Amino acid sequence: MKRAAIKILLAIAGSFFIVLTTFAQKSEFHWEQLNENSNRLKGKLSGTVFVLSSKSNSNYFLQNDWADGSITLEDDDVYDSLKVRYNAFEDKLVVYNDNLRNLFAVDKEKVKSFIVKNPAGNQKFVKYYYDGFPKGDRYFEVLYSGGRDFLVFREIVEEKTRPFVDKFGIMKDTRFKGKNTYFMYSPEAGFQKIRLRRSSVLNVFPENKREIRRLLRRNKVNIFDEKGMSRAFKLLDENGYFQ
Amino acid sequence: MRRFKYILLLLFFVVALNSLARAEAVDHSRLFLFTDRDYCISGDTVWFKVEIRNGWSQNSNVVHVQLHSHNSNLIAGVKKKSTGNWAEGFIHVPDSLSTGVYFLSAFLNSQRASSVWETVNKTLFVYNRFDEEITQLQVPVADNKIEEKGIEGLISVAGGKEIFAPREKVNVDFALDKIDTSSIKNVVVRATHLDELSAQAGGRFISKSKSSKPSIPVIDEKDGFLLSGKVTDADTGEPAEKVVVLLSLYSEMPYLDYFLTDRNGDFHFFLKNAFGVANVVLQAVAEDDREFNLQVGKNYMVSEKINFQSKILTPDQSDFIANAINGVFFKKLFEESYIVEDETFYMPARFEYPFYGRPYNRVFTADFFDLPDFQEISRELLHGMQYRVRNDEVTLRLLNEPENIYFKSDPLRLINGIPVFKNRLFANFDSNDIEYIDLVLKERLYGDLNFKGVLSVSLKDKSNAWLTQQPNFFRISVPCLQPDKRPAYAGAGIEKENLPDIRQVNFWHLTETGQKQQVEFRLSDLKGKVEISVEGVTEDDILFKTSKIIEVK
Repeated sequence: MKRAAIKILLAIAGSFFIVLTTFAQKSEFHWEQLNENSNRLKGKLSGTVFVLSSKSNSNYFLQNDWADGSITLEDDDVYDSLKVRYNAFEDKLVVYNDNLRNLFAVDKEKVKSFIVKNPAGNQKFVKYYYDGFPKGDRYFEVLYSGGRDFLVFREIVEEKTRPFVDKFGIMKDTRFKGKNTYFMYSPEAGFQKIRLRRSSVLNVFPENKREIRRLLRRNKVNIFDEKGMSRAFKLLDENGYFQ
Repeated sequence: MRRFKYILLLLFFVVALNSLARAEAVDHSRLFLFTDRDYCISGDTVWFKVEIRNGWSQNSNVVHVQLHSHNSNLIAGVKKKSTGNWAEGFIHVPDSLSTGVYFLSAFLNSQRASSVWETVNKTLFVYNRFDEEITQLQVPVADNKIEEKGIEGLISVAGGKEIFAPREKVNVDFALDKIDTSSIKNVVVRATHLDELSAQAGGRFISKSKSSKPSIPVIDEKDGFLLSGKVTDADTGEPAEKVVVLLSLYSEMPYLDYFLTDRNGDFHFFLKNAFGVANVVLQAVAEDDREFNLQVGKNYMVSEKINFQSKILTPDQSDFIANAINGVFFKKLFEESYIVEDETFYMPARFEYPFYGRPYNRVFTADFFDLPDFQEISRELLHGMQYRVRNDEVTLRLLNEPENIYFKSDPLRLINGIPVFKNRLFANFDSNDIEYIDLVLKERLYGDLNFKGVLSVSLKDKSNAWLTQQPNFFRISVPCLQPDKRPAYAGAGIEKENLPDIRQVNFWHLTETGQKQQVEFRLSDLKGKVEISVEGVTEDDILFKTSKIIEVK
């Protein structure tokens, strides 16, 4: 009796396995989730599935929550009305696929720029090839765009700290911290690292130091933060220093 | 009460008139088309120029040009991408086309936003090259003919000469400075052998047009075009809804797109920067294992019928046609570039990597010793891939590299960029069949398709012979955007002294207004009248044409 029961169980398991392998053949199609919104004529956004852990959710992203955004690809195809977050720890743009209810990191080689819409204002990121260290494509936030761009590479880095107990009671010895690196950029001149100080700007134009110092003073431009540096870039651009 | 009835009646009439007016709402924006000739012999190639105006060119730069009969039967059609505001291309007139008057017209896909729009139809008199004696012809009645305005003193032939010898050089001054540049920026100047019949009875005719297939999406075709079709159930013939149609083609790298059919079984693809004739592989995939039929449809416009009347030809007109037909035999014999060949397909890669992303590993089988089958290849060369044969069933699994575990279902499997769902298709490929193999060891998304890794096998043989006998695969030859070409008479090599020169068109080009132009051209061996003309359209859609006739004796 027992033997017969085992045989039946094996037969059921066997047929279940065969059925599974048959259906698995077209498993890449989530039929119930495909609809007319899947039919975007001008192109499809592609990327690698991103697994959101509680660690990455609370530490890796520049934005605390999913924000509206748009992406422009290298072929100038624009994708609007997306939910996006910039993963500043891995330098990845993560997008929520509404139909599949899946997160994915957009293929960086296809992205030209993207915009994250925040209540305080839009953040525009542009992909450039950075020839410093480490070399490669990076997303830079554009703080001023003109004859020369004022860019910031916003990173989240994990650094060693003294051991501490976090809010969940877990002992840790690392901490995630924001780090900004600022650049003056033009396609011709490439990247020039700058700091949020007046002297840093003056060093870029050693022959015009005195004029620029006077120009900044007369226009009451103080460079202590990103806003001040953006104003300085605008002023220098308007006065022809970036030509 | 009576007053109330009157008000109701009045209201009814107002609503009825309003809806009538809406039904008749016609988009009056027009595209004007210019051709290098007004008549041709069947088998000829006719060249056209179309100006995209009314601000359309900002969003739409692909023009559909079609040759159709007076009752709107489509004979030939091409799609041409414009440069600046002008699209310049050619259309082959079929060799078998019977003698008659046909029409060339142009439209943009975005014009289909209006259910009815006005089209300018330019006549093309076609004489079949096997007709021996043409004495009578059906020609359009002048009801909807567009009147052409003339501008005095635009063309002057050097020395005021009116009679020339064959192959003699002609110098023409075009006083294009007389044209108001704010109204007309460009004009088309040409010198062509004159057919008096087409000059008299031909011209441009206005008609109302509709889309051949209203289900085709009304989108701006910028740098690309729509490819549409229908999927039907092979057993019932009913439109197949919710079928994924996969489009694959291969140029610089594999290209894939997909579309989920609607309730009418319709599908649409937008092919960007695809030029020449593409060998497209379409595949209909459903949740079950049904078999389908698939047809690709044409996007053209159906114009209302243009009325014709019978015309008895004069002996001179009949002789002219007979001579023109005889000339074609010499043309075919001596002109190497008589027929313009379509270029092979090309579609520049949009991105650095294929649609399936940057390959984790690309294996060129030629770099290794020969392996007899795919199982051996996967075992020896494809790290991160499991190839298992169990109960005669082949299973393929890829490693999910970030998680360091194998996926539990099949990856996206591609052969020459074409998705396949039968693992057994890979079994017989040996090292010599394969150029390279790409592996992507990550879970990928492409639009709303999710892949548990990607296995892409690129074969040395790109003919895809393995596709034959596979159900639901359809190999279709699709004419894409027409590549840029120039007519033979526009280039060098026409002045071969020892060969007959039977050019019908002496010159034809687009030129800017606002300054004087001087053109020197050489006549061909064809005797008869040559019309030198300047044509253009003002900002207010007023067509003008000024011409001067010289004679070759």
